[in-house]
Amino acid sequence: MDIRLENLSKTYGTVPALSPLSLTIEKGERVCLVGPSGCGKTTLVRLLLGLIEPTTGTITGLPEKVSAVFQENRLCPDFSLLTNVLLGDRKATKEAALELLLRLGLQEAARQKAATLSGGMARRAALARCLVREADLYLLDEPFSGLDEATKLAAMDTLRTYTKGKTVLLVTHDKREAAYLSCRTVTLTKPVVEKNL
Amino acid sequence: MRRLWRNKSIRQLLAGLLALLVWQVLSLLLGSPLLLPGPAAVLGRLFALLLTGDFWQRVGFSLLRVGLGFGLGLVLGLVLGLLGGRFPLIQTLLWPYVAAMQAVPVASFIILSLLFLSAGQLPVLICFFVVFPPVYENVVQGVRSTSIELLEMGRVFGFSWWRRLQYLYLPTLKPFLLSACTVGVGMACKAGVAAEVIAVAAGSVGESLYEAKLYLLSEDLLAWTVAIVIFSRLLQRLLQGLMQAAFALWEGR
Repeated sequence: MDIRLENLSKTYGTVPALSPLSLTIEKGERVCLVGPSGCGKTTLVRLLLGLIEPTTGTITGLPEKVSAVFQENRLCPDFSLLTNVLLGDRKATKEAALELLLRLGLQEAARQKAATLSGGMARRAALARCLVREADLYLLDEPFSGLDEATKLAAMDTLRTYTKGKTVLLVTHDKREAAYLSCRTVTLTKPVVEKNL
Repeated sequence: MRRLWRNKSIRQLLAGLLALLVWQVLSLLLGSPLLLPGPAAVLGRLFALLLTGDFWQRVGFSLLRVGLGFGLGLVLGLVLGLLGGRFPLIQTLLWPYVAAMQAVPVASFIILSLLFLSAGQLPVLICFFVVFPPVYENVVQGVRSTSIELLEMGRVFGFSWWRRLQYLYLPTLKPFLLSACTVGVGMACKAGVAAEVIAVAAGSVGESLYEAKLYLLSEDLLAWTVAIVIFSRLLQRLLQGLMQAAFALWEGR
């Protein structure tokens, strides 16, 4: 089923976070969301995750099983990298998780506590936790931020392989990422603050 | 010598020895073993007690009740604290009881409870009464301070309540629980023995304290007191060690 956003917007008090947006994402489609900072990309992801309610508009056709990479890594700091990845899906096996870690170049850090991972490793760990989940919709908020070119390529490759045929919405600043992942690009514009003159 | 002085434990040991000396001097000045027996006499009496079977029976009797009351307070404090932290209505409904437990003097509880509990059961309830409030309050605070970001992550990844407890709440609660338990054990030992003294619980450490007071056996009184302090500290250390080991084991999986 396609995901339909109709006239969707979000305002915090009087501050607009997302201008009214209508968009259809077809089943199995990959959409890249680009736009300047503050245009509401993360707000849109949070709306789709059901973490906030829209001010206007509706979302229909959202699948039940969703997976995500948040803007922040949101790992459980006291547990190992492997445990964190396994938290992505109750049905995930250790083998599947280790395979993902191998692809992302994290296999040697599997037993390391999440709190001790470097920024780039933690980002890839968040991506691994997202991809280990068998979901119908993947929402990724700048999943490659802070990665160097080589790890970014491996991460994009893994993303492409693991989400084949699935609906993906990817937030990015980088048009090359959009091209590499052969996404349809949707550009958001910054909401205008109305001033009472 | 200066290097020795820099070591904190050595400084503390020296201060402790000095305090023992002060005690000995005071006892000599007073000149009456009835009013204040010296440390040597008290330690001698304690060693004599340690060799009797009666001592260990009494310690076992009291520790069992303190342990039961503490365990009850810990489990109920944890369960109700989790619920109270998660659901404000439950916290509101519980506050009068928790506030009463904190405000009413332990002695009043002991005397009131004696009306319907036996002297053997009383220490369990009293220990529960002093342990429950700090554990409950700490757990509520811990639940409230659990990261919203992580809770959202749990929601998106479809965590069951058990998973949320294991991976999101318990790690946040760890420092809160550790401090609540350390404080709680010390308070349980003191309040439990107080209950035994007032209730004159047969076969307890408290009964020995009561008898020592009754027959003016000051050496016994102080020897038992030292024993209580030592066992209370040992219990604190044991509990801290056990909890830290349990958490480390759990996180290392």
